[in-house]
Amino acid sequence: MTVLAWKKTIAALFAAVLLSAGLVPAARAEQAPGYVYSYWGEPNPAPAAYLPERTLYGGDLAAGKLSSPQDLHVGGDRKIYIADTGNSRILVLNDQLRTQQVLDGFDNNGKPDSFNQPEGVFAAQNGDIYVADTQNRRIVALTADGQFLKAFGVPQSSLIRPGFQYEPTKVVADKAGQIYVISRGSYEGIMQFDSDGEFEGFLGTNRVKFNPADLLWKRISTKAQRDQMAQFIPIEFNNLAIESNGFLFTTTSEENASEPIKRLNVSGVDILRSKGYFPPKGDIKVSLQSSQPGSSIFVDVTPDEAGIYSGLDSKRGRIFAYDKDGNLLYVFGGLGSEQGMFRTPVSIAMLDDRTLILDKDLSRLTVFRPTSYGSAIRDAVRYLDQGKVDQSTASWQQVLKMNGNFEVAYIGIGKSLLKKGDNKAAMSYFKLGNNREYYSEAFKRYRQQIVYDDFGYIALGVFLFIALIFAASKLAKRRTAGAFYQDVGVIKNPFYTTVHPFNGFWEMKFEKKGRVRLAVAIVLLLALFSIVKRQFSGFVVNYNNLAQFNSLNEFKFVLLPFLLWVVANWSITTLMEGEGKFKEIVTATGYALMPMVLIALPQTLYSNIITADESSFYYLLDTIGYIWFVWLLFVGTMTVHQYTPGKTIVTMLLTLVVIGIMLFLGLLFFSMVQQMVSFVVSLYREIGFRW
Amino acid sequence: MTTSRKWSIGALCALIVLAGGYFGLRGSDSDFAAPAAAATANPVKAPGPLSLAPEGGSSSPNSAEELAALQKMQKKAENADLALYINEETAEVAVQQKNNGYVWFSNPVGKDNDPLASPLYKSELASQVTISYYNDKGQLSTYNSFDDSVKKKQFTIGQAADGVKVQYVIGKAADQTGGIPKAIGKKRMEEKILSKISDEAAKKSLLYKFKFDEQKQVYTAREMQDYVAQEVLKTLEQAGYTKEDAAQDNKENGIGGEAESAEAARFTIPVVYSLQNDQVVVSVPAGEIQSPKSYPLASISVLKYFGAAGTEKQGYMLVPDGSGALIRLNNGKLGAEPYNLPIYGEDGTYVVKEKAQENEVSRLPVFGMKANDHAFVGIVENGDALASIAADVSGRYVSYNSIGSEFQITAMDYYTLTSGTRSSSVPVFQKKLYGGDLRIRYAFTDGASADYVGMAALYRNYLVQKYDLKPLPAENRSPFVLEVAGAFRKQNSFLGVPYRSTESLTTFDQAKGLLEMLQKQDVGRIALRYVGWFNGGIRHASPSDISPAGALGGTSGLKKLAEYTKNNGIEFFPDAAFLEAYKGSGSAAEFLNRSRAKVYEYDPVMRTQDTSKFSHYIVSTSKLSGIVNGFLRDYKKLGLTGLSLRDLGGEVNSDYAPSHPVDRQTALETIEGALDNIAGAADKVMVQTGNAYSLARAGWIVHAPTHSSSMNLTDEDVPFYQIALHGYFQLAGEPFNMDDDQNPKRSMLKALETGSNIYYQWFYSEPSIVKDTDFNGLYALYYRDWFDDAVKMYQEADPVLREIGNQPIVGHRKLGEGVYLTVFANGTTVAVNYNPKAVTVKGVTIEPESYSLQVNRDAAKGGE
Repeated sequence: MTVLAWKKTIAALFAAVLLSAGLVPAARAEQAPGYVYSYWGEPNPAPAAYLPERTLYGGDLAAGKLSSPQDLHVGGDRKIYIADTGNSRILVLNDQLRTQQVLDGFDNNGKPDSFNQPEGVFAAQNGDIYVADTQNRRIVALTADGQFLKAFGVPQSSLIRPGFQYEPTKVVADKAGQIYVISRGSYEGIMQFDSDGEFEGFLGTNRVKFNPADLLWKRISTKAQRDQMAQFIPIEFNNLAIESNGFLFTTTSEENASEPIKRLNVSGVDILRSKGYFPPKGDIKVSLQSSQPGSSIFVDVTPDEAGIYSGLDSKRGRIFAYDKDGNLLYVFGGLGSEQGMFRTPVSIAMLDDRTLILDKDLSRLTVFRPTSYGSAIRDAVRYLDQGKVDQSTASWQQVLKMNGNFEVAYIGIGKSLLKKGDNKAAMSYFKLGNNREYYSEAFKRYRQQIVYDDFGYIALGVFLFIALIFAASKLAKRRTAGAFYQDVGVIKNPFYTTVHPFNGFWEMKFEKKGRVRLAVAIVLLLALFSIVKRQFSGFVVNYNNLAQFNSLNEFKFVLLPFLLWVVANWSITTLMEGEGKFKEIVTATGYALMPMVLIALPQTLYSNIITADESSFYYLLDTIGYIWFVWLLFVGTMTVHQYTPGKTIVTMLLTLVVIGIMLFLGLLFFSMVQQMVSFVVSLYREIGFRW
Repeated sequence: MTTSRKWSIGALCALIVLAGGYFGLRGSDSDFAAPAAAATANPVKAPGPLSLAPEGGSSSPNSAEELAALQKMQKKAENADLALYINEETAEVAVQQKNNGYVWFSNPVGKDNDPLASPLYKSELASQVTISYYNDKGQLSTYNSFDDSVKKKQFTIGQAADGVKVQYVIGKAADQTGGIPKAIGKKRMEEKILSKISDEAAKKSLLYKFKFDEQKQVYTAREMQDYVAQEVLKTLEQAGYTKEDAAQDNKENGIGGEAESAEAARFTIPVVYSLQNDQVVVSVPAGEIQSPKSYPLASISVLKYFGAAGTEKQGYMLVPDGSGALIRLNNGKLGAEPYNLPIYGEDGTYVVKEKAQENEVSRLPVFGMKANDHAFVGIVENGDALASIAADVSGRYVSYNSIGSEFQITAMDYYTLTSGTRSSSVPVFQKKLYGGDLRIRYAFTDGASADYVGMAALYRNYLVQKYDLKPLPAENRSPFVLEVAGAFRKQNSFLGVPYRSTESLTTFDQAKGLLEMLQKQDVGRIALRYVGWFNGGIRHASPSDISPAGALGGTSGLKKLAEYTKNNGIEFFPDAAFLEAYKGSGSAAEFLNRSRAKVYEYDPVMRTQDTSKFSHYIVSTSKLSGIVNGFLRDYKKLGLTGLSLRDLGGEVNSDYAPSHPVDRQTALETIEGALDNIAGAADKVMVQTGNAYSLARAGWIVHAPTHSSSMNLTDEDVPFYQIALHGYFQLAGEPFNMDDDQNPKRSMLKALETGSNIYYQWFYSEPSIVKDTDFNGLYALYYRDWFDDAVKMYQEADPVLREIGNQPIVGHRKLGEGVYLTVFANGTTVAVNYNPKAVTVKGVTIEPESYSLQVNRDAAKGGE
């Protein structure tokens, strides 16, 4: 309820802000021009990778102004093709951005013909121009100098569902003359035509997404009802681009899409790599409370050199560039009223290292040039692609000089250090780059090196350590040897219980060897050790953001469950003829935690000398600790309450249920208190305001 | 350099003469036609390869229509330079320049024949003042002085010293609607009125003005425009229906005296025009403005169409966006938003939940217009902190290009009251308003100096006279401005217990080391700005009480560094922030919604306030003098001589706290006082991003704007800021390593183009120290990465910069895409090429990302 009100407030405030302030400059000029996502998903400040160089409205193209242009393509001959949709023409510019040709009509076998709001244009390797002549519902092919080649209209095939309205919006062709077309409403996939314009079939259908609730309803509805419901249909592609090797890049405009950009091979399988911290889907840290809420929506994608590709997000007007592994390289652009910003960006293309963006509503072409930072990143990726590791490292170093926040660069340098055998330095770079996989590899080599170099000392150390323990235990035995038989004392009881649960808990209950104080100490120790574990366990297994680490949480995760368990267990066993007193329950539960306390420290030490491959033993220790704990808890509960094993299990499960109920009531109470507080606060504020 | 030596002597002559012409006239500010005459009179055959030949355009006198319009006006004031005319019918004003007879009009003369303008816009074109006001719901309405005052004859023209004062009463005339019943029974309507009107059409049109309630059988009057009410009144009078009848009807239908008590939206706005030498001063004494309580006056726009240029004119408008930008007349960019940016940026004490984009801040309260070969420049002399500059090109609503200023009088925000799921927003208005003058000064120029350089010269002269500025002394070397980051507070955690520790980025000792290294590389003159040296570092606790950071070496370390700088001729500027409180809310101002002015950082992704990232509290200027005094007390003990001000020269914020409200202009005046106080205590003062009011108290400006926001409407950036200020101030733009481009070469070219200094921002520690901290914005500051580059840049630029350090810029021109030419007063000419390939302009080739230099003849002789 409060959330709703909050949303309303926000909306009202936004409206007010937008109305009264319009565009607001910063009080501080220090906000960085760009950002890059860190491993933790934080948008860390970054320098600008691209800056606007020129903007063209059409007036300066010597061909009259553009009108709602919708597609942009740069051909292999570096010519720039613009689908000037509103003017029903195609503009061809040279690489100096001067108009070379205006294609607004052609001679169709003796008859003068023209376009009707073409939304897509493409130039094939041989210079042939393909136009998605949208409102004429056809694809038109022209030669490089604008002579009519062929045109093919609505495809006829049994594959096409009846009632389908063919409206081609984007078109590309591969070297072999295969033509791929995206039509509005064609959710079956990309339409594939052969070089003669014969429809061949659909390619790369998007998977259907539905939510389980809808599916359930659908299952239990009658056929008549089912027909009334919206059908589950795949999301249609909205754009495509072709790489020189024939792979297709596609985009879909869907909220929260997991794979908005795809790279399809000839059989329509998505082969896009996603090795970065996050999948290539634009902005990661998004919220719903903004005037452009939610995930990025890609409307175009363009391949670039060395496997780089850039997607154009229409929602916030940003360009996201990824390398071939899916690492986010840089982000630039935005919506706004400045010349490097957009209103409705619709198309992106690369002219060498320059990025061209076409804006439909501003009817404007913006040319971006890479900054030193952008160039350095591109160099590094390109050199790496060409196998020139040294140059690539030098470029990454250049990148880091300009942006110390860029983790991909740390990894890049780390890799080359690893190759050179400087394992220690590589480790620190991988740590800065938050890459555990490579860190583990570097650590493995480093460890090997140390073991190799100092094997003697290590062996000696291990030997001495074992000898010491041996001697100590001997000594301890000798000390106690003279004494009379002593049964296990109060202090030792927890340890004894850990390995001899039946005896231990028995002694605890009936021989009064349990102490609540000890149990509480164990719980506190566990909390402390889990903090230690969290902070000091090795990088390979430590996925915690230590800068944001707060120990209150740890206490919450250990103390709260403990308290809930003992209270819930006490309440349920009172009803179920349990013999255990509250004190005993506390003691037994506390003692049961002992194995986890015992394991924590050695485990933490161990984690610092392992590689990723060996981490399974680390996790195994965790599992052993849990199972042991559950076993002790089981025995403890059984002994304390004098239950049968079956009843114990039932009790323990019921305890969990009670914990759930308690949590629910607690939350209810909490939210009530919160509402009361907010009511008092707003009352106070209103009185203060009206006074 | 070598290419430059090959230049022809003829080119030299042309340049020197041109430059000399500009320079010569700095002494006398009245005669701006002189340089053009001098330039053309000189027998130079061919202009040099890179000369400043005017862009073309012959002299264009007023049109016959304009002269006819002048005939209808009365001369009200006159001096040796100007004559002031006013049309007593329309309150339009004209100013005639005596040297060339050119007349400037407050409203375009051809406005009635504008083919584009709607009637409303025709009225706007005819207005001198437009106002907007709020109603009780916070909605805005506008009035213009033509429709709502002049047409109703609600204005008076009186005398003022050297000029004329026009008093407008804008808005609803004194209530004349008393004769119209607010409500009237059906029976009486028919008896008293309808039966007495014979004309059916008139009956019908009268009934349209009333709403009939079927149930009650009552007619209620609809909202009527003034002129409609007049018509209705006339009809009623003819029908013999009187005021008394109306009162009776109102009473019968339960409408009491409240109708009379409701205030009318009526505003009294005085405007004073006066001549001061060769300039016109237009002022609105804000203290004399009268506005009704229930209709707060939101803003006043004064002389929006002064000197507006029609579609036949060529030229541009100058806007002070960032370093300055030009909007070409009739550029046809109708898809772009009209230009409207506040001077000194937006008021910080205004909650902005979402910030779509960050524009450059307008640092100078100046705007200008060049139409053919005439130009004017407007200087917002007073009320500048309340002003915005608004400009638009022809073709949108009217066929004129116009530029002017607008003053915000009352700020308004919504206060949201929430209870459970329901919430309502109530408008809150600023309580205390500015009571001083809102004053704009217009100055004129023409001929060859009618360009942005000429405008900058006018503004420079204005500043020189106002503050008695002196040009910088000649120096042997140009300064290398080095900014080092001292300490910062790092968020740490031990065993999950979070704590903050002050960690060093550059200790005092390391800073000294950097200086030594630079000096060893023959960096002859250094200015050191040291940021984050006390109270926890960069985001320091209140400066009212300072203790140098122990992590940096403490007081003794600081004193040692100060000693070292003194002995080695290094200018030392420790930095402090006074208007932003990074710790402690004690001195915070308040927002309109009565909460403390807490500013958060903006999320770079969603562009919304990120409430998990506190930025600072806005300090109320009512507390400023106490803080500054406290600071200076400690500062004097440290034996320092220089001081750098992070925010005193860069932001102005109001305070809406009911107990101690400060409007933005008063805040500006308080800041001026604080600056005076500081300038009295420190020998040398450096400001970051110098706003106009801070200039007189500071000799050094860093982070001076180097480009504009490139708003969609603008066409071209110009370094207006530097052209106006160079020679009188030591300027530096963005640090070379933190500039948008991060390309020191380009930054150096910019420095040469604008006469700015080499400027780097460094720290000494390993760069990864700031990664994943709140200070990760300092991502490119590691000195070792930039040191060699910096020395190279300095060695390359210094020979030029030391020649021109104290020389004002007298010429600046774009020669081609990415190629600019600057002429300094001593004749030194620098042409820079930002392009990645060589360009040849008029026979001179400039290498890629390089420059070409031409020094004046005397200097050349002396040098060789």
